[in-house]
Amino acid sequence: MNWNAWIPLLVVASSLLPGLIIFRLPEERVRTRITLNLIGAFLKLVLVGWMLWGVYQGQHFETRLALLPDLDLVLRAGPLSLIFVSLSTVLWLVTTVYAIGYLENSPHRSRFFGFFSLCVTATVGIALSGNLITFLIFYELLTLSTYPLIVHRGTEEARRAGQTYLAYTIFGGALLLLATVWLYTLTGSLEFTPRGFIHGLGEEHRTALIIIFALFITGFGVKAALVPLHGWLPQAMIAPAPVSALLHAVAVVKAGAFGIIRVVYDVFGIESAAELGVMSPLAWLAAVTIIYGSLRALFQNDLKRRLAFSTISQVSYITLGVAIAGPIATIGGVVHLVHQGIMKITLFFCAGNLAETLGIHKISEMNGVGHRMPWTMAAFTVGALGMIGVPPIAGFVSKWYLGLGALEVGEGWVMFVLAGSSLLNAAYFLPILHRIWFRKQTAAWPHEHNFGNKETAWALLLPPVVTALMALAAGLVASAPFSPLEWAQLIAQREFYQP
Amino acid sequence: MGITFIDFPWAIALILLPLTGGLSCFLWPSVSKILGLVTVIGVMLSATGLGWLVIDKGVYHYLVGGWGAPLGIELYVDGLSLLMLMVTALVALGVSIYSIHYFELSYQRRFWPLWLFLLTALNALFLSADIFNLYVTLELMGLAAVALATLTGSHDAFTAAMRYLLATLLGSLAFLFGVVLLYHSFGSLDIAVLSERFESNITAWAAFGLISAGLVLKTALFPMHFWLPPAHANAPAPVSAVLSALVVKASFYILLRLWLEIFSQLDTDVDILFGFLGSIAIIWGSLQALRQTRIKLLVAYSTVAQVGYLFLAFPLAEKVGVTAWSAAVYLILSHALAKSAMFLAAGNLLRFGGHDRIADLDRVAQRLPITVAAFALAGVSIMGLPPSGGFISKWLLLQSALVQSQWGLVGVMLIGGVLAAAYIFKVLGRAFTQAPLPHEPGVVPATMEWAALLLAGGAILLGFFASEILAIIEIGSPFGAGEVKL
Amino acid sequence: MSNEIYNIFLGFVVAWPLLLTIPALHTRLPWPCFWAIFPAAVLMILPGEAFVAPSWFLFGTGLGVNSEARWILAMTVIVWSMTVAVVKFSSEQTYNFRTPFFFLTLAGNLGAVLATDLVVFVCASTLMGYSFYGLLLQRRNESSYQAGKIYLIFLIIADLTLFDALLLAAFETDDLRFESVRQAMTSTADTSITYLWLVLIGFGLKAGVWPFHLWLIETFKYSSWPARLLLGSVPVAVGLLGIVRWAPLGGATYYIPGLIYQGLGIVALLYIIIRAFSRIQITEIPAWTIVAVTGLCNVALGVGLAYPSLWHKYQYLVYPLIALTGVFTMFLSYGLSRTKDESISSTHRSSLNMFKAWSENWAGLMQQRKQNIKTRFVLLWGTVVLKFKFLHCFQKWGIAPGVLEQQLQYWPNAITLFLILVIVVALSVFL
Repeated sequence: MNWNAWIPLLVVASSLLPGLIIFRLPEERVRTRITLNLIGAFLKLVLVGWMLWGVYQGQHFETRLALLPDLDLVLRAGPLSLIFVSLSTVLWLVTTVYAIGYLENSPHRSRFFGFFSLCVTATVGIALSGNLITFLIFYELLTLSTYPLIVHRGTEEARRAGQTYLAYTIFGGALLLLATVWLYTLTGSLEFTPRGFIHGLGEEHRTALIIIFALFITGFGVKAALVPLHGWLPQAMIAPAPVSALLHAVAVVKAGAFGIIRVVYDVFGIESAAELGVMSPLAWLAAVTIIYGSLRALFQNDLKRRLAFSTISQVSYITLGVAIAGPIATIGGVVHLVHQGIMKITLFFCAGNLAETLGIHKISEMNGVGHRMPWTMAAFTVGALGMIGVPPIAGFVSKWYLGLGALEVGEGWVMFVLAGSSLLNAAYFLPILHRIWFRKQTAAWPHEHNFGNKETAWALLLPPVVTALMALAAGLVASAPFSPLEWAQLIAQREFYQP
Repeated sequence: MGITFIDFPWAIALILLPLTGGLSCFLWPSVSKILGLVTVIGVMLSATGLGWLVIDKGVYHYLVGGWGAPLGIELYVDGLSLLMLMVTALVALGVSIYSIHYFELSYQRRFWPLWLFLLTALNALFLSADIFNLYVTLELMGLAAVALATLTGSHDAFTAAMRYLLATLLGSLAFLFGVVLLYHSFGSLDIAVLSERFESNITAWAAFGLISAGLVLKTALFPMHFWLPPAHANAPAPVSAVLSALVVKASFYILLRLWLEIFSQLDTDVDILFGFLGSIAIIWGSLQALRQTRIKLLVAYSTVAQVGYLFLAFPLAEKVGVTAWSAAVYLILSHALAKSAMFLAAGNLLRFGGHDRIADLDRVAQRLPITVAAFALAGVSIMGLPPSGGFISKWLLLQSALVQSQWGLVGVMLIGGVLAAAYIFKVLGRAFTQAPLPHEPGVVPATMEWAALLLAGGAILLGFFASEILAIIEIGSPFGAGEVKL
Repeated sequence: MSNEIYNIFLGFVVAWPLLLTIPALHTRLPWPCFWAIFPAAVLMILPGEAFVAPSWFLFGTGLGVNSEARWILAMTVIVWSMTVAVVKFSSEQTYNFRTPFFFLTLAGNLGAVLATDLVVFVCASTLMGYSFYGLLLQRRNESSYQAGKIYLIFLIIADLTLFDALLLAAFETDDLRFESVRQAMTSTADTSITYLWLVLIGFGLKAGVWPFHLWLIETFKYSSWPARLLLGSVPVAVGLLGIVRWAPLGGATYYIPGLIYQGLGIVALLYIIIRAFSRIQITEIPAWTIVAVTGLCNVALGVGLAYPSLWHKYQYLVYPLIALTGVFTMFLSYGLSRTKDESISSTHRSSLNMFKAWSENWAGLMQQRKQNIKTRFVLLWGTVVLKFKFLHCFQKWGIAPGVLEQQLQYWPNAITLFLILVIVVALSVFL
C-alpha cells in the first residue's frame, strides 16, 4: 500500500477529528481538550515534516477522491502547498498554546476550540488543494468555520461584525463559484498545473478570460482584503486575540492571498496572464492597498485596529510580488506569505497579552508598558521592526526580493511604493515603540490581572517570544536549507518558471 | 439468501407495508408509536432492498397480478424513482424518530395512521407507471397531507389547511382533467404507451396546459406558492418537514416524468416561462424569507425559493439535458434532507423557547448545540456551499447555464445563494448572542435533536458521493429522450 | 591561533554584546559594559586578517577584519571604553533600564565596522541606529523626546535611501562584498550615478553632513552623557565609513557629483564660521565641530570622486582620518560638556524650531485635514440627499413585498393567476 497517497488526507484529518471530538466534550474537561488539541497539532507537525522532506527529495504526495464524474477532490503536496501548510501547522500549534492560556476560565471553550480546529483544517485543505474545486470547497469551509469564532464573544457588536464578515465573504464566494464553473466550461479542467492550463484559449475567449480573472481576484480579494473589499477586516477585530492572530497571520487573509498566487501561477500561468494584460492592474491595486492600509493605520488609536489596517497593507505585498511577475519578485511575494504571518501573529499575541494582563486596548494607554512586560514588548518590538523592514528581521528579506524583482522587470515605481510603505509603517509603529520603552507610565493600568511576580501567564508569554524568535531567524539565517526563503526559491524553480 | 433476497417484491412491500402499518395504527392506537416506527424501518429496509436490486440488475418492472399494460397496474422503477424512494424512506425514518417524542399521546394516535398513509401514497406515486395511478396517489397524498397539517388544531392551522386543501384539490382536478383529455385522445393511461401515441393536437395542448398548471400549483412555483408558507409554517414540525421535503417534490416528480416522456414531443417554449417563474421564485422566496421574523415562516419561504431552482432545469435542459436534469434531481434529494432537518431543528427551537421569533433566539447555541448544528449544516446545503448536496446541484446547474451562456439564470442563482446565506445567518447570528433568557426553557429530548442532525448530516454527505448518485440517476436513462423503454 | 577559531571569535565579538542584552545575564555579571567591549579589544590587538561568511547566514554574507577595519575598530574600542568609564564614574548614574540599549548599540557598531559587505553593514548600522535612539532619550523629558523624534525621522529616511541603494547594487551584482560592488558600479554608468547619489544622501543623513545636520545639533543639546560622547563615533563615523565603503570611489570619474560634494563641504564650513560669530552656544560647540569635520571630509570625498587617481594615492589616509574624527569629537564633547551640562537656554531660538514645530504638528495637521475632508464629504452627501429626495421612496418600497405577498394570498387573484398559467402553458405550443 502506498502511504504517500494518504498522507495529505491524514494531515487534513489530524485537525478535523480532534475538532469534532472537542465539540462534544463537556466544558469542564479541560485536560482532555488540551491533550486532544496538542496531539493533533504535533501529529500534523510530524506529518508535514515528513512531507517536506519527501517533496524536497522529489516524492509525490497525492490523495484523489472522486467528487463529480469528471472532477476529483485532490489533495496534493507540492512545494507551494507545503510552504503554506507548514506555516499553518506551526502557527496552529503556537496559537493553540496561546489560546489555552488566553481563554482560561472563559465560557464556551469547547465550541471555540472545535471551530478553531475546523478553521485550521480548512486552511490546510486550501493549502493542499490540487484543483480549483477542492480549493473552493475548503475556502467556503473556512468562511463558515471562522464565523463562529468572530462572533464568539456573543455581544451585539460581535454579531454585527460577523454579519459584515459574512456579507463580504459570501459575496466573494459566489463570485469565485461563478468564475470556477465558467472556467471549467471553457477548459474542461480545473487541475492546478505549473504555468497554467489555459494556453491556447487566449485568442478565442480573451474577454471571457479577463472577466474570469477579474472575478477570481475579486473573490479572493475579499479575503485578502484588497482595498475596496477590506471593510470586514477591521471590524472582525472584535474577536478574541488568538482568533485575530490566526485570522490575520494564517487563515483568512492568507487564504485569499494564496488563492491569488494559485490563480496567477497555476491556473492562468504567468505568461498567459501577462498576455491578457491583467497583471499591471493587479499590481496597481496591490500598490494602492499597501499605501491606503498604512495611511489608515496611522490614525487608529485602538491597537488591534491599527494592526488590522497594517495587515491590509502587508498582505498586499504578497499580491504585489505575484503581480510584478518576475521570478525574484515572486520569491518575495511567496516568502512574505510566511514572514508576514510570523510577524503579524507576534504582534497580535502581544496585543492580546496587553489586553489580558493589563486591560490595555488603546495605544495611548501603552506608556511605559515595556518596564512592566519586557519580554512581551521585546517580542512586539521585533515584530514591529520587521514590519517596517528593518534588517535583518524577516520583513527585510521580503522587501529585498520584492524590490529586486521589480527592478529586474523594469517596474521602478514599485520602489517608491515600498519606500512609502516602509515610511508609513515606521510612522505608525515607531511611536508605539517609543511609548513602550521611553515614556513613563502615566496612569494605572486599566484592568490589571495578578500573575504573581511573572509578567504574565506562561502560555501567554511563550508564544509571542517563540514567534518573534522565528521572525528573527527567518531573516537572519535566510540562506539556510529549509528556511522560508530557500523554500520559496525552490517553489519558483520547480513550479513557476521553466528552469 | 441471494435468490430470495433479490426476488422478493420489494416494490410491493414499499406500498403494502406502510398501508398495513397505517391501518394497524388506526386499529390499535395505543401501540401506534411502536407500530409506526417498525413500519418505517421496514420501509427503509425495503427501499434498500429495492435499491440493491435496481443497482444490480437495472430497471425494475413489476406487473401487479401478472397483468401488463394497458390493462393491469404496472410498477416501474428506474434510477430516478429509486432515488426518490430512498430519500423518502430516509426522511421518513428521521421524521418518525423525531415524532416519537414530539407528539403527546392524544396526537400520536392521530398522527401515525395519517403519516403512514401519506407514506403509502408517496411510495405508490414514485412507483407508478401510468397517469391515472399517478392521479390517485397524488390525490391521496394531498388529502393525507392536509389532514396532517390540521393536527395542531389551532385556528391559524385550520385556516392554512383549508387554503391548502382548496389549492391541492384545484391542482388535482386540473391534473385529472388533463388525464381525462389524454385518455380520450390517445386511449391509454400508461406513460410508455402514451409517449408512443402522443401527437400534437388541440386536446393534447389543453391536457398539457391543465396538467402542467395543476402540478405547478401543487409544487408551489411562484406565483402559485400562496398556500405553502402558511400551511407549512403552522403545521407541527414533523409534518412541515414532510410537506416541504417530500410532498412538494412528489408533484414535481410527476411533472418531470410527464415532461420527459410525453410532452417532450411538443414544440413549446414553456420551459422558458418555467425558467422565468423559477428565477422570480428564487429571488422572491429568498427576499420574503429574509423579511420574516419567525423561523418556521422563514424556512417555508426558503422552500419557495428552492422550488424555483428546480424549475431552472427546464430552460437549461434544452441543450445539456442530462446535466440539468441530474442537477434538479440532486437538488430534490439534498433539499429534501436539508429542509426536513431545518424544520425539525426549528421545531426544537420552538419547543425550547416556547416561540420561534428570530430576534429572541439568544443563547440557543449554548443550550441546544446539536439542533443549531443541524440547522447550520442544513443551511450550508440550502445556501449551496460546499461540501454538500446543495453545492453539487448548484454546481451542475451553473455549469449548464454557463455552457449555454444563460447569464440571467447565472445571476439569479448567484444572487439566490447570497440571499439564502443572508436568511440562514439571520437565524444563526442570533444563536450566538448572549442575552439572558426571559423564561425557563422547555425540554428537548435528545432523539429530537439527533434526528435533525441525522438528516442534515445526510444533506452534507450527499456532497461526497456525487459520482455514485449521479450514476444511479442514469439507471434506465430517464433523461435520455427516446431511449427509455418502459 | 588557527583560522577556524579566529573566525568563530570574529562572530563572537559581535554576538557577545547582543547576548549581554538579556537582563538575566548582564545583571549577574560584574562590570558588564567593560566585558562587552573586551572581545573587540582583543580582536584589535590580534594580528592578521580574517573573514567569515557562513553560507546559511542572511544572503550568505559575513564579517571580516583587516588593517583598514582595524583603525575604525580601534576608534570604536577607545570611544566605547571611555564612555563606559565616564558614565561609570560620573555622578549621573545611568546603569538601569537603558543598559540593554547600550549593548545593542555596541553590537551594531561593531558589526558595521567589521562588515565586509553591504547587507551586514546595513543590518548592523540599522541595529545601531535604532538602539542609539534609546541612549538619546536618557533624560526622558519632552525636549529630548523632540530631539529623538527628529533623529528618528532622519534615520528612517536614511535607511530607506540606503535600502534602495542596496537593491540597486544587488540588481547589478550577485556578490555584495564591498570590492565587487565597487567594481560592478564602475562598469555600469547609468545605475552607478543613481546609486552614488543614494549612498551619498543616505549616509549624509546618517552622519549629519551639512544640509542634514539638524538632528545632530538637536540631539546633542538635549541628550545626556553616553549619547553625547558616542555621537561623534556611533552615527557620524559609521556614516562616513559607509560612504567610503559603499561609494564606487577610485573607479570611474564622477566629476559633477564630486564637484557638488566639494561645494557642499565648503559651504558647510563657511556656514559654520558665520554661525560661530553669531549665535552658537558653548554646549553646541562639539556638535558644530562634528559638522565642520564632516564638511572637511566631504571636500576630501568630493575630490576623490572627481579625481580617482588622487583617491588611489591618498586612500590609506581615509580610515585613520575617520578614526581620529570619532576620538577627537568624543574628547571635545567630554571636555566641554563636563563644565556646562545644564546650560541649555530655553530662549534659544533657531530655524530648527520651525522644523520642530512641523514635526510635532504634522500628525495634527493631517488629522485636521482629514476632518476637513470629512466635513466636505458630509456636506456633499447632504446636497446629494437633498437633490434626490425621492430616494426616500425606497424606504416605502420595503413594504411592497409584504403587500404583494398578501395580494397573492387572496383567492380571486390566485385563481386568476392559475387560469392564466393554464392558458399560457397551453397556448405556448403555438408560439
